[in-house]
Amino acid sequence: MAETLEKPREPAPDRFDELRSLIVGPEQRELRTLSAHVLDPSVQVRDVSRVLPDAIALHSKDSQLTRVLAPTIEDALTASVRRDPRPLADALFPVMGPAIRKAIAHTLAAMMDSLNRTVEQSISLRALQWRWTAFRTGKPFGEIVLLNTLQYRVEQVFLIHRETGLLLQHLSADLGAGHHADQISAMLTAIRDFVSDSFHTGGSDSLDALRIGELSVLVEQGPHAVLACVVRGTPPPDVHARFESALESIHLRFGPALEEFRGDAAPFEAARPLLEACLLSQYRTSAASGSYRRWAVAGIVLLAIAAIWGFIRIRDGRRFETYVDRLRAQPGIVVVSAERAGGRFVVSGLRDPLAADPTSLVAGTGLSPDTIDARWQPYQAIDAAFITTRAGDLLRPPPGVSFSYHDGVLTATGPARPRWIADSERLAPALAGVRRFAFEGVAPEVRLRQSLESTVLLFPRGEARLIPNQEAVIQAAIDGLAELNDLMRARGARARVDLLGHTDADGTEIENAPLSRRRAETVRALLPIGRLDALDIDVKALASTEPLTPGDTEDSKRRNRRVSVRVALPANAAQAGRTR
Amino acid sequence: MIQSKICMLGGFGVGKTSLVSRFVHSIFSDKYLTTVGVKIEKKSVAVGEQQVDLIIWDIYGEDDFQKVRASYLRGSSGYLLVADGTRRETLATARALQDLAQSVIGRVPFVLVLNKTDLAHQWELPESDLVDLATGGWRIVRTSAKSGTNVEAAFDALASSMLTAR
Repeated sequence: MAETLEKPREPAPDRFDELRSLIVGPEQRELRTLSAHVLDPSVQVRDVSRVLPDAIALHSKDSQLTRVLAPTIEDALTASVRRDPRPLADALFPVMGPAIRKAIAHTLAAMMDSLNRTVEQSISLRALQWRWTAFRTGKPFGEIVLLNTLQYRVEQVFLIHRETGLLLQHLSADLGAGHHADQISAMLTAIRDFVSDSFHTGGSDSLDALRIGELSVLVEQGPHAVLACVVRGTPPPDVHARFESALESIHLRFGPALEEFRGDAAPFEAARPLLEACLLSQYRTSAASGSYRRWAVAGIVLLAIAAIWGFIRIRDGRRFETYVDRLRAQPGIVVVSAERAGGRFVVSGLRDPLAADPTSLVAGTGLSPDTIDARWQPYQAIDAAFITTRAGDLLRPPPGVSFSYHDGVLTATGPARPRWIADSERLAPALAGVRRFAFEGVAPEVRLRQSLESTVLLFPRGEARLIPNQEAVIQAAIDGLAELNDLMRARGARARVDLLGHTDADGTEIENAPLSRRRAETVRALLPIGRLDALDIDVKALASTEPLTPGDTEDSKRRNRRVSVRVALPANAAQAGRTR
Repeated sequence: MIQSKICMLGGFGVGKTSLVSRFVHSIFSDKYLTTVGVKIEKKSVAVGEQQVDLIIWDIYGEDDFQKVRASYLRGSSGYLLVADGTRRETLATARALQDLAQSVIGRVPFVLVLNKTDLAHQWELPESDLVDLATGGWRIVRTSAKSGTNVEAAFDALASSMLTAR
């Protein structure tokens, strides 16, 4: 066709061509213009740009154009975001900002509201009653609070296809409350039909509310869909307007889909945000004065709790100090640290295995042993008591031998064989704190007692004067008593010394008793009584009751005519001597 | 997944509710049948790849005292016409109900269910009547709600007819 059109441009060689240009010249020119429009892309672009807006405007009511363009626009947006997300983000920023702020504000407000309610209700007298009700009825506390504070709450929303009664969408304020929603939707439709039929209402009139106790079903009816909202409590009148507006919006957006509905509810997923707006609720608010009172009561309760807590804390702190002082006073226990951590008492240090059990020291302080964490490291204490106990375990002393410890020297006192003493000298330095072993034999007071009690002063037959030449024996007794007196005085103790008068068995008791007394008094008269002030010296008349010998010969009788000495040491004298 | 409303239609005592009970687990009490005149059940069936939720409106039996409410038929995609094989007059009722349904909801798929095949010795329906109906394009399924025979088949037949008609 292009060739045919190009030919007339060539100069007409003959008359036939001239004639042709005369007859079809205007058409040829028109054809040329049209061919330019058809074949020249730049002209085509200009043409299309002129008509495109009108064409889109003309087809905007037809969803086909939207459907055709949607994938292209989606692809274009995806590509744009992939290439550089900023231009789109900049463009959307003015829209996104307020939307996000609104969503956050809404969430925060709901959270604060819920928190306030929880605080209000957890401490009031009314809350106690509700808790009792919850306990009595076996219902959760939250449910009782809800029932008592709820003014109204839209619990479920059904969007129902009017013609078929089939469920298009269902929303519930509680998860898991959507069982059998499709059957309930149909039954609700049946009941509405039943009521309309039974009462022969006009075509447009229908059941718009059902009420069962606390629950009511509010029904809004549109040309193609019905909105049924299950409400607990008493809703304000304006909720009808809210439901109506939601239903109108749904008809506006989903009109064609509702008309063409053939059982597939998938397109109505997009209606959920509109239905969510119908899940309204409102709680009763209490009077401000009541609120202040509640806060005041709450404040007092909190103060009281704080005071009790503080008191208990201080008291326990004091008790713990007492306990630590007791520990410190114990030999074999070294407290390194004592502190409070996380509501518990923590005490740590060193403890000799022979020391008292720290747990037994808790008794009487008022503390519970469960609140104390003790960490003890074992060690060997060098207190005298522990060293002598350990020496007893290691050295196994013979009966009558005891230990004392002073300044690194372990001293054994009492009757012992040389072999044991030699072993002990070798082993004792192995004990912690012992440098040297010393053996002191018998204690001085015991030695003195033995010496004094071996004293025998003899008398002639029937007389109370001493046989001559016994001065050395008397002097030894006086020296021994003087030494015992000094020992006792140094210890602040007293010893009892009895001078015992004896006779032989000749004669009668009536004669012998005074005689034995006189003999003892004779000996007492020889003693420097005034100087022996730590001794209680007494005389005893034993007559012939404690003979030294059988008294069957004259020599034997002679030895029975005597005065002897008996020493009673104070009960603790021997012990004090050993631990000196 | 698509939903479809279907109705159970038939004379009094033909076994509609027994058929449905064979088929589904009920959430509503039977007392709705005598009060509101309808009871809703649900059953999911698969026709080929397509899952269909049948919302079954079990409508109270037509008798002298209670007529079927035409409004309950509205929006149905199909229905089961139930007749009792041991009572010939129930087939006439089924025919009348078919006329009613067609006038209310137009020509939508339906299946004629002849129930109580377990009572074969009391069977009253003449074969000639049934041949006439089958010739007229009616789908006929013989069932026994008592033994369960063919009950699923009746619902499946209706569901597949409805899908074909979409």
